[in-house]
Amino acid sequence: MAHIHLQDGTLPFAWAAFWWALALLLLALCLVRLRRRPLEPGRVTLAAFCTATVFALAQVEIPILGGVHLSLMPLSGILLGPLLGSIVALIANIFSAAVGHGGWSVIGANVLVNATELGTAWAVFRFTAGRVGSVFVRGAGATFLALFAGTLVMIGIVTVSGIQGVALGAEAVAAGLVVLGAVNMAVGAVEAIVTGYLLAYLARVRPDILGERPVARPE
Amino acid sequence: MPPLRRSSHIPDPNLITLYAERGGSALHRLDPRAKVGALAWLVVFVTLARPTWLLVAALAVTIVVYLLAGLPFRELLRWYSIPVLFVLSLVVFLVWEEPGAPVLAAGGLVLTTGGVALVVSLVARALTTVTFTLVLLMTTRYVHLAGLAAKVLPSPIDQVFLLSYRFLFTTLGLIDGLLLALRARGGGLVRGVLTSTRLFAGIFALSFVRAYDRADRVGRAMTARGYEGRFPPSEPLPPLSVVQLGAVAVAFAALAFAVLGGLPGFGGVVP
Repeated sequence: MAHIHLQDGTLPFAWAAFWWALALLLLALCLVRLRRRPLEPGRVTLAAFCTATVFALAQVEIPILGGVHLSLMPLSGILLGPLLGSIVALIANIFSAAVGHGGWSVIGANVLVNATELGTAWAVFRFTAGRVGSVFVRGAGATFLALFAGTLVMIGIVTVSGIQGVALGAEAVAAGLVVLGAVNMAVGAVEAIVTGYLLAYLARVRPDILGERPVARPE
Repeated sequence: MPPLRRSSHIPDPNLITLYAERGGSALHRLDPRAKVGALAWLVVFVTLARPTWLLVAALAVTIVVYLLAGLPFRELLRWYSIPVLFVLSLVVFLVWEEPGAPVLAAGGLVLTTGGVALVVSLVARALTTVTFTLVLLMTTRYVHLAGLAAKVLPSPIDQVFLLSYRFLFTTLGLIDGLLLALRARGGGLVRGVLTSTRLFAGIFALSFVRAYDRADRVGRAMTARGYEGRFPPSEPLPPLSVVQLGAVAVAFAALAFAVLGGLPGFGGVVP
């Protein structure tokens, strides 16, 4: 997995509730911003399609490094932006919890991790438009940075919250999570390359999905 | 190289729907609101309960409930692999040097009885809620889940949720078709990280474009039929079962009493 999902009972009750509250606050802000203008039905269907596709593709096992699944959250951020993307993150996490791919009590924490990935990927991809010519490089770079930022937030959340029943101190927990984060980023590199190729393909055949002008092809 | 396919370790939504729509056990007849309430109670319970034996007992009870609902046990064991993997990947660095009697020592690391209890506790916590979540999903009809989602979630989250659930089935079918076509053409024999990565990027991109086109067509068709951002529920929720909801409320009250009253074995509100 290029994204770590925590299971129920991993975080203490008070911290799980705290991250839930923060995530709800973030989602409320996203909803307020989204409702400023009437949301076109086409955007709703795009968000729904993105949620379903991201969730379905995350079930495909890629036979690399012994078999990995991708989170594709950075891709959602690039396609939808951080506002609608955060809603996709919530629903994807609900679907994931429904199939045991993460816990209900830690959806709040996972939404915060995903929102970081969405926001970072969207910002980097938009910032590099016009500055970097290759869509592959932009997409892969944005995805890798997004997953790196998400991993840092995950390490921060787990270190601050603590893991139930673990007698080790915060420093030892953080050290263990850093090792885990490094492994996570190795898989993140695979996700970055896949996302880069995917975005380059979309830019060639369906630039309208990316909201960009068609890429000029060499003669 | 393993065959190209969707992972069999993740529950298949089609199978879940089949059991939910066709099953006839007593659990299928329970109020969906009571089942959601029971799941919420269980999530809070496994978060607050401390003794390993209590958590293992909770897991055993939920497995019995799962079996009573007539749901497939072999699939359940297969579906457990991902949550167990998640827990192990998180605690593999943390179980060493826990207080307790040494059980195993290797390479300067000591696994104690406390470390083993930690792993068992976290696995039992995870699997308990996973099992009951599957009970909820596999014993509750779609129209009732959709009705609950429409009541609880604010707009446009409810719309995205309900639409994405519908798209999920067509998208899964589409990806299955692509993987099958790829395998039929020898795609499963491809070797090399870079080649595999490019190959799967192509599959993912094609899935995205096809699913996007389909979603676009669905969106236009919905707009043409008068969709303005609301899905009216196709079937109302069943009448509220006061007895069942009351039982859930009593369970919550008992849990609150156990925690606030300082009953041994209950804590976990703060680290």
